[in-house]
Amino acid sequence: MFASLQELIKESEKTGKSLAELVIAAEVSTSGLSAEAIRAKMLERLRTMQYSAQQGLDKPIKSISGISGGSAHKFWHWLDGNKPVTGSLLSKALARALAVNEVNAGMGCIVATPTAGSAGILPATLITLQEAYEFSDDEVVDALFVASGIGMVVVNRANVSGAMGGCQAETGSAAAMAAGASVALMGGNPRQVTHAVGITLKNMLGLVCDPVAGLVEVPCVKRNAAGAAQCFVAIDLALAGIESIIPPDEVIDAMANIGRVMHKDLKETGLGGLAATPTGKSLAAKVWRDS
Amino acid sequence: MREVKEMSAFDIIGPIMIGPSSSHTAGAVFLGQIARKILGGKPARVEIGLHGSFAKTAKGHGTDKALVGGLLGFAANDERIKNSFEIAKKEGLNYQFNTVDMGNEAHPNSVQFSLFGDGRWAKVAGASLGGGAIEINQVQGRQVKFNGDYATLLIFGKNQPGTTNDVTGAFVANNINIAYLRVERLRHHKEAVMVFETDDPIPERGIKAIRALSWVEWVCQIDKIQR
Repeated sequence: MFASLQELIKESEKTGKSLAELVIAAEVSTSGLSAEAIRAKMLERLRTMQYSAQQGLDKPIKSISGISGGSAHKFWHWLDGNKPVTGSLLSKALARALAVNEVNAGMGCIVATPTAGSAGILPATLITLQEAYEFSDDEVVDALFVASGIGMVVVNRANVSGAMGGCQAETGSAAAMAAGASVALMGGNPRQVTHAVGITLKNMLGLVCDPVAGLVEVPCVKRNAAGAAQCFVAIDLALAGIESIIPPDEVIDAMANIGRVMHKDLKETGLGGLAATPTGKSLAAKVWRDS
Repeated sequence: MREVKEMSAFDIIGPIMIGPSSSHTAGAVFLGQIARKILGGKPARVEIGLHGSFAKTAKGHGTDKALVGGLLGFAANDERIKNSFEIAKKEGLNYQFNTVDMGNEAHPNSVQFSLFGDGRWAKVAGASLGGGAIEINQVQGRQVKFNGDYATLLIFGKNQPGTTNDVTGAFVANNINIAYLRVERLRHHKEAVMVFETDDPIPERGIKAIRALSWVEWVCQIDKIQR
C-alpha cells in the first residue's frame, strides 16, 4: 500500500477509509497494538512538537557549537509590532520552524519528522493551522498519520536522508509530508493531498545538503523556515484544485534520481556549497579547534 | 514489483529525541547505555576513544555529552543530556575523551569505551550507523555483532560440544523465543562467543542457570534499546 501515493488513493476509494485510517490500520497490523494505543503514541509526539516549538519562541536558544541561534525568539518578538509581508499565518509558521530547529541545535527535545535536521517543518505548519482554524488534537493526530503515510512512500521510492539525497530529500520530504498532512487537515481529498506532496517536492528538487562544519545548523535552521513556506504555497494551490502536471509519484522518483547524480560534496559531507565558502570554512575551523 | 520495506508510522514521525542529530546524538546515547549495561552498573571511571567523524565533530554535535548521558543511563529523549558533564561530576563518574584510530575498516562514527567501577571492568566498541541505529562490534576484546533492537545475551566460554544445546535449553525452560543466534569460535577453537538476540529478556533464574554451566566464563544480558 505504501509503494505509491496512487495506491493510497485507490485503497482509500476502494475501502471508503480516510488516509489517516489506512495508515492507522496498517500500524495495527504490523505492531499488534490497538488503534487507541497507536493514537496515544502519536499524541505524545504532538505534545513534544508543541513543547519544542514553544521553547524556541519563549527564549533565545544558542546552539552547542555557538555558531547559530536566537533567530526564532527574535523573529517572534519582531512580529509583535510589525506587519510581516508573509501575513499572520505564514509568519508564525516561519517562527515555529526556526524555533524547533534551534531547540534541536541546542540539544533540546524534538521529534524527528522525518529527521532531526528537518524537524521544524511539520510541527510549524500543523501547529499554526491548529491555532488559526481551531482544530482539535485528535484532528492534528490524524494529520500526523497522513504525514507518516506520505513519508513511508517517500522512503520506499527514494529516501529522506541528506547524506543520500541532499537537502531535497530531507527538508523536501519533510515539507511534502507537511503539505499533504495540512491539506488533509483542511478537508482536502486524498487526490489533493498527493498533489500537495507533488507540488511541494517539485519546488524543492535539486536542493543540496551543505552544512557548515557538518553541523545541523547552517543552513538547516533557515531551510526549515523555507520548507514551511514551500508547504504553504502547495497547500493553497492543492486546495484550489490545482494539480502537479508530473504525477506526484514520478516527482518522488525524480527526487531519488537527482539525489543519485548529486555530487558527494553536496550530500552532508560539509565539503561543498555553503560549507566551502570562506566564512563556512572559517566557522568550521573554529568549531573543530574548540573540539 | 517494487520492494516495500516494512516500517512503522513512528519510524517517520519519531523518534522523540534530544537533538541535533540522530546519528551523532541519539545513537551516541544508545552506545553509552549499552557500555554501562555491560559493566553492570554505574562506572566510576570511563575512557572514551572517539574515531573518525565522532572525533572531529563530537563537541559541535554534542556527541560527547550524549555518550556521557548514555553512561549515566539516560534515555535518548532525556533533557538532562545537555548537562550530562555536570551531572556526571556530581555522581562521581569520571570520564576522559581521547582521539583514537580504529582503522580504515571502522565506521566513521565509532567509539570505544574502557569502563571501571565497583571492582569490575569492561571494554566495549561500537558505531552509530545513522537514524539512531547502532552496532556493537567488540566486547571485552572479543568481536561480536548486535544492534540492540532485541534483548541480547552475550556468553563467552570454552568451546566444546553441546554448548549451544545447554543454552537453548535455558531459553526453552523460560519460554523465550530466539530471533537471531550467532556462535563463533576464537583462539584456535578454544573459546566460544555466543550472541543470542531474543524477543523478551531471559529472567534472572535463566541467567543463573547459564552462569552455572561448567564451560561458561562470562555472561551479560543487555536490554532492548528504548526508542
